[in-house]
Amino acid sequence: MKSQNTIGILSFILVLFFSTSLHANNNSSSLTNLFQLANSNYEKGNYAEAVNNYKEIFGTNKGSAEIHANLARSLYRLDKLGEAIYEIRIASALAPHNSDIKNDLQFLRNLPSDKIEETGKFFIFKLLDNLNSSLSQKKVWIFFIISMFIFWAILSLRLFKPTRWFKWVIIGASVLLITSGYSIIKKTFFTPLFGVVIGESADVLSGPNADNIALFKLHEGAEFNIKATENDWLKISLADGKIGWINKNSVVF
Amino acid sequence: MKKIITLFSVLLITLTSAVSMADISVQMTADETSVQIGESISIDVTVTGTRSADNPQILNTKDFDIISSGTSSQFQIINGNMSSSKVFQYSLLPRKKGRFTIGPAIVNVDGKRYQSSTIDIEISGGGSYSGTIASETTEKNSHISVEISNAAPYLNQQIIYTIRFQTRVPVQNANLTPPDFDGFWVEKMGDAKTHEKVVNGQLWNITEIKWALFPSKTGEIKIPSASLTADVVVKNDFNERSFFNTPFFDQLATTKRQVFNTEQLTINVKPLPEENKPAGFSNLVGTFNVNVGLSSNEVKVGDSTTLTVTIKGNGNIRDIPFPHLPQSQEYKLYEDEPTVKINTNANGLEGSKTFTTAIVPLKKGTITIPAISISSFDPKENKYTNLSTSSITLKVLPSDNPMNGTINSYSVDKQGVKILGKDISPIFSNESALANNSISPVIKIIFIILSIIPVIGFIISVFYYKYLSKISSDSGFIRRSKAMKKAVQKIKTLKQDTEFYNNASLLLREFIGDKINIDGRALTSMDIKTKLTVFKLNNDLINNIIRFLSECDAGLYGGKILSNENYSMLIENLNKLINRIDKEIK
Repeated sequence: MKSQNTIGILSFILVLFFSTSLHANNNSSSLTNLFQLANSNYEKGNYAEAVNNYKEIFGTNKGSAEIHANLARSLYRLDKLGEAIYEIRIASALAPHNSDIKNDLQFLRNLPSDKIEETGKFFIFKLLDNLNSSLSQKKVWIFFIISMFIFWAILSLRLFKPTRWFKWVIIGASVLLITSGYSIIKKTFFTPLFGVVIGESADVLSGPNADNIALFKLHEGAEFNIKATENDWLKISLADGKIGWINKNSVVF
Repeated sequence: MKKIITLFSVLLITLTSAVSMADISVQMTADETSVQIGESISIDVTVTGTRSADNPQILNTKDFDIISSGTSSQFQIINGNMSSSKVFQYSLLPRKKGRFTIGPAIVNVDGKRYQSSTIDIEISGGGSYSGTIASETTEKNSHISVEISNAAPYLNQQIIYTIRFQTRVPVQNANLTPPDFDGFWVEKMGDAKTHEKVVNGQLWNITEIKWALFPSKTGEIKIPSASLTADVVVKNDFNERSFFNTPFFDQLATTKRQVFNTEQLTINVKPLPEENKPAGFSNLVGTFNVNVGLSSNEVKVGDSTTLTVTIKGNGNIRDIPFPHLPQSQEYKLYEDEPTVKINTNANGLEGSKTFTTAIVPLKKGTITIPAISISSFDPKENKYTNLSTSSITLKVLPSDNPMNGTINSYSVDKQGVKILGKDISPIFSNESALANNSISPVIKIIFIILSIIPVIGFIISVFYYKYLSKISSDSGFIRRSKAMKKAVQKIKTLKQDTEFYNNASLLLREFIGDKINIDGRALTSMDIKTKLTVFKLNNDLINNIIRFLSECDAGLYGGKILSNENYSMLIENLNKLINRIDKEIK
């Protein structure tokens, strides 16, 4: 009786495993077909279809930097600069070291007419932000784990064999841990939401209401960080420190 | 004083109005009415009775070139009669032979039209080009001629074009307009040169200007006429032997603006002969020679020596092509801009063209610089000649730098890459593009666990460190901590024999001794009570310990027989006691 139960459970697990893997294989196969169709449409100049195909891929796989980049290129060919910049920024965040994506980000960022210059940051934060933006989330995690091992290992060693130079080693390890800690916290918990203007131009108002005063005008491709949302309005901040409210219909975020 | 000024003003106004009210007339005169082609006629249009006439218009002059020679005004009071006039002077240059009536000259004065009478002029045929100086026995005081050194040159062969102006009277303000030398490459042979010559007892002043011409095409090329405009001193009326015929009074003689035209020339340019024409012949025509030299015949790898090629001669020097050296892996060549020096002499243009090339050897050893060869056509000999030098040997020494005597022959001058355009990258078409770059939740959990592990490791290290510290600071710690284990092992060795009571009692006392870090073997029941009371052990436990030890003493010294039941009970009691003591003394 007992062995019969065991055989039943094992059979159930096997069926579950195979059906899951079969489903996964089917998924993978259809995804590949969709990807090839999207690429084919792009090569033929059917950019609108290519955009739809790439967006369809996101239904099952939203974490591919290269698909986001392909989508950005298709959007660029359709003269949708704002959306193209948005997608290439996502691609860049997922794979900061990909040289093609870096070049495309630089290329697309040169096209908008708005010149928004970043306000001066304290050099340490600027350094940390540069480091952060150049590392993928996976690499930031690995960097953090290695820093943790180094720091705590040095502290543990200090318990058993304290020497004078340990002080400097601990300071070094602390800097490493703080740097990696800052990166992991910022990357995981404090990545700012961003958006890009998609219309020809959009007014940025002093409040979340069309009756408010227009503070400044942004043009297609202008990037901003999102501070808050209220109904159809986003509170945004520009890299140069300007703050205002923009209608959601004028942006992609 | 004021009255005098007023009177003078009234007088002046009266005079002026009197003049302006005089009759106005226009008169046109010519210095000659019969001239040849190439000679000019001076026309004066005199407007009397006013000094404010507009420029006159001379009708019927379409067969003449008219050059204005200036204007002059006159105001005269003769025997109380006042008159004023304005004279407009022109030079008329006939374009063709024939009889012509020029005029009238029409002048507008204050909106009123006045006109002169006409003048009949006869133009006869002029002298023709003779190829040499025109007749030196001419009756004319001044004339111009043209000479060409060769009317049938080869293509690119140098010919000399000379304009010669002869005069036996003073000439002023001469202005030559040279012809357009279309179809020739032209080099002016210096400034005008003047010399004097006596012909038939007459002193002639001769001025020559020369051009070197190089025909740039074959066939018939026309050189149009040149013209010279000058003020020629007209012979004055003074008798040649009179007092007034002196240089001082010559200056007072009047001048006449005249135009002198040369004949149009036709040159027949022959093509260069095709027979024996060298391959790659570069249209060099003339007589030339070539010299070649090196600045240094011994040089180190990477250093440079300069090869100088100088081609001298008479001909189209500027057309000499650059004598390029062949490219080689043994050296690099840096060619400089050639320099040209031109001199003029009786033969025309002579000069030299110098070509310099810096040679940088790339390998040590010996380099042979090949002979340089240039072909030219000698029109005097009517044949092609080949100019060539002998080859030069260059010894190349090893370089001072550690390049083993060789430098990279492929090094080039770097230039920034010119951006032609920008575009977005092509799409990622490899299926690996579908790989997920984001972190899955499972991987994230693993990362979090891995991040926590070093903290846990550190906590363990701290505890271990504390343990080690306690060991080193508390000498009884190890005895105390190991006492239980030691006692349990010893209990297992207790046998049901005569030594049991002794061993059991000793085991318990040693255990207590280990727990309170003293020698337990010598402890009596009283000692145990005293010591354990200090450790605040339960009295009941202390009494049980003493009772157990008393039982053991009774068995050891009282000869009590150790039954199985008794053995088991004592072992059980011993275990209980040890466990309780271990729990209460940490």
